[in-house]
Amino acid sequence: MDADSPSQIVLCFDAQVYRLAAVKKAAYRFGDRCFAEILANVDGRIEVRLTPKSKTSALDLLEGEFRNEVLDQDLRESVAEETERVRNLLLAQAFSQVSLTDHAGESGDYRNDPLGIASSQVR
Amino acid sequence: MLPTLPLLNDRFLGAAAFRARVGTGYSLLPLRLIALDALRYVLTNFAGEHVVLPKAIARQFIRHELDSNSAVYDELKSKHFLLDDDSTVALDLLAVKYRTKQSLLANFTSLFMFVVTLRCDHSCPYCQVSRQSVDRHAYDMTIAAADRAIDFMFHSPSPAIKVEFQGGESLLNFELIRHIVTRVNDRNVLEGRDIRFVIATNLMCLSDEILSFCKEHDVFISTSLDGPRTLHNQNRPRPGGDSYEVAVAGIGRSREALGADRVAALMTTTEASLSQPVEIVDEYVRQGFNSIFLRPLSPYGFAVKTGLVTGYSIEQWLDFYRRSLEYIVELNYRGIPFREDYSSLILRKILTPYPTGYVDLQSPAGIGISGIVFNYDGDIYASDEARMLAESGDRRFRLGNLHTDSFEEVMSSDNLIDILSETMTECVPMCVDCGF
Amino acid sequence: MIKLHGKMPKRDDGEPFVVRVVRGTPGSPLAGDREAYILGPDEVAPPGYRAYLSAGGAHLQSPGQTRVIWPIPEELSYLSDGDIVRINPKTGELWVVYRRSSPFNAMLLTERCNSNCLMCSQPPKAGDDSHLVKAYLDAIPLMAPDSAELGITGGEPTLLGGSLLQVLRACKEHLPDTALHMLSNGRLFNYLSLCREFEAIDHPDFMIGIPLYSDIPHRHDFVVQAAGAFDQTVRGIMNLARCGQRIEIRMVLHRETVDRLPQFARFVARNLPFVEHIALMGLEMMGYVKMNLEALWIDPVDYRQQLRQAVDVLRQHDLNVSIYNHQLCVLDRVLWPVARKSISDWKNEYIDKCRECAIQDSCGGFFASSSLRRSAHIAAFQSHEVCSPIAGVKKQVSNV
Repeated sequence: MDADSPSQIVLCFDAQVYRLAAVKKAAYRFGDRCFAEILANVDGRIEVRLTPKSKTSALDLLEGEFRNEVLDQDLRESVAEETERVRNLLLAQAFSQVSLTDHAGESGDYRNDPLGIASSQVR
Repeated sequence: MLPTLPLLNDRFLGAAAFRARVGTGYSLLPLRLIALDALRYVLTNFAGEHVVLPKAIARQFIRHELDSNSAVYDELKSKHFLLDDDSTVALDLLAVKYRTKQSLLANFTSLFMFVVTLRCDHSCPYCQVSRQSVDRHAYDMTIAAADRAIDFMFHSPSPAIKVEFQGGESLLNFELIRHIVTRVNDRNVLEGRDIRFVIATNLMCLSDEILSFCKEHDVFISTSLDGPRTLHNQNRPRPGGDSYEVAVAGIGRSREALGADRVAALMTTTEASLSQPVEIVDEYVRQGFNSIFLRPLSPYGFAVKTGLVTGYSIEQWLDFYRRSLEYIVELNYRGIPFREDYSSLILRKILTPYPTGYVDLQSPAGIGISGIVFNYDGDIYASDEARMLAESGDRRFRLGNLHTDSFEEVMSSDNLIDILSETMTECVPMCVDCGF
Repeated sequence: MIKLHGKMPKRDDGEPFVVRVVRGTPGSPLAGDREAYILGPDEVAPPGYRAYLSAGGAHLQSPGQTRVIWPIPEELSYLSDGDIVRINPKTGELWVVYRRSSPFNAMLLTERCNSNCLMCSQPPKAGDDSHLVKAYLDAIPLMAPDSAELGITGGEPTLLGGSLLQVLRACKEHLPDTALHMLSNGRLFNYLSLCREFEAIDHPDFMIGIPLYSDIPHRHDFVVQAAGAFDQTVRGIMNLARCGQRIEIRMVLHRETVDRLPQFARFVARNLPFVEHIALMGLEMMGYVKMNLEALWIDPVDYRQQLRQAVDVLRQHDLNVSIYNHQLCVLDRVLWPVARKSISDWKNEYIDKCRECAIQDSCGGFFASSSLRRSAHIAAFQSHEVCSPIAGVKKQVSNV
């Protein structure tokens, strides 16, 4: 690394808006292109210092791409948080021999019609 | 005058009456997303559904800001990215689709490759195998090893089993093939598996005796065809320089004896192939094949060890692949039905709920649990590549030996389990988030 | 249009009975107490039959005998050997339960239904109609065992529960070589326990046709006028598949279903790829369709594009798809190979324009009820427009 060139950029992310995990994942993703140092909770912000591994990298381009990546990763984090429970249910269902989502249909007797299907016509 | 909407008879409820629960309970179903380009994301789920959305719309969707009356809302709901109080059956459907995708895992190992000899008359520089000259019988699999391999194989619970004979040149040890086929069939009277035999061969020692045996036992033939004569003979040198003539004549004889659907060919792309995509495809069409499997050089075995083969870059390979595929599409437009098998596999993965069983594209990898290799010396390898690697000194993917290890020991060995868990894209950092 | 019901003079106060018609084969009766003999003009009634029908002319009674002879109503004069009829002596009703020569015989087991589809051609009726099942249970042993296919329809047959299972068992016992095709809204199959009953009967050739009208739950619920129906039907289809039952999906095309047809096709291909057949069906102008005509009618020419896309999707997924009840002149030509002559013979018609058409023989024509509304684009093909015979259009037994 050439010590003379402006070889580092510092990016800040609002910790209220972005998850730390998202910033970490973005840094990991950029691992082939730059070294990253992450400082969490600097006045409610997450600070990231990126040092490109090759000095031919355009720093402003890198910044934009990194910000987009954090945005993507944060979106993924919010999806993962929201869907974790249903994901576990689905995996359990996929490998179960019986329906875990529709108990009445799975084990109810059609003659008793516990779901009221036979009489549910709208008139 | 305004057009009046035709009305239902008043004994029926209007559509709005059934929309009451739409939008309430709006929640996301498991999904992955990845940028397709600057403007769009592709969203996928573990059942293999996908949808391409402008980034702004995708963000709206994930923040629960999508209008429940919009077409995109319906699309996401139809493809099971979104759930609301209108319906819960999406959960059942997703689970079944996921189970279907994984169904081959449950069947366990179904492909068993028997390396009946390492001897070969060809001297192909790209050969993945460290071949041995024709007279060195020490490199033949013994009957004892073969019998143990058969026992091992029937330990797999898979209802469908494919037995593939490999080499070297497998037909140089035809007597062992005959022994294995006969023994497997005898045993299968009680086992009742769906068994298919394939001989991978360069067709050099094809004989009427072999063909009638194949006919009698419904054995398939798989051979190599790299392209037009000059290219093929350059890629696959043998004494006499007539590998192409041998292959083409053998394909014809085999088809005549066994039927066209019993004979397949595989190609390997060398540096010399890169400039001939059209010629290679044309050769396959000319030889009466309706598909081709475009395969890059494998980075294992003889080729790497010796440096006999000039490699090429991924970009060069992709360019070759693209040009071949374009030409194949053009052929189809001209009314010549022709398939590229690798694309077919990928498209089947993307567009259907079914798995492919193709061991190279699985999570976890198909090594051991989909396909397994019995080497001539009784060593058990996780894949064809694993034995190549072992020939060059790296025995990491050697799972055991037929003479000392049982099916259970091999399949539950730390060695295999470790490899498998490292290949599960469901847990590998970044892979776990990848939309593709 | 062939009539299936006729009125005769009321004769006595006996209970209704089901008999097989014997015509033109005098001799000793095979199953006399379950057969009715049709007398030709001036024919002497042979002894031993449950009933006697007259095709016209005078009939001589043997001395000392006073048999009741029912005159066959003019519109049912087609009755022939092997047909099965139900005679109600109290009302004089003659109902043709089964026609030996027709490939379209269906058993309407009940008129009750738990859905109320906007376009139902056979609107549901509440009330006790157990006489229907009874009649068919009597008729099944009399049907010709070489009948190719027999339909079960309604109403919603699964509402019958045990009686339906009884009918299925009777079919398996008496007509083991006859394919059985049942139409059901599939909702009660949400109960795995019902599917297990069908699995246990293990009929050798049985298929269930189940309507699905959208990939979007509330859209389907609206069409069938029952909230929650989509989930029940889809779960039903999955349960039936778990129990090894063969399934057909039926989609009726009208203004409320055609918009999302390609998406519907994709949904089926991705989620229900195990179904054996998908039928995309034109409207029959019967029942509720008459009430909702303006709301439901759309000229088939106006949904050609969606129909083409849907069929493409299904065929790309290697699914077996057919188009029913459409005239060839309203279809995209590439869809001709999947168009079927699907309309039951007794209600199948062609219009004047069809007479000039070079491919009328390959075309399914119209429902008799189509006089209410037809496509504005019906046109006869000249022979030079259709270069080769349309091999693809097959006759399809479908109980439409």
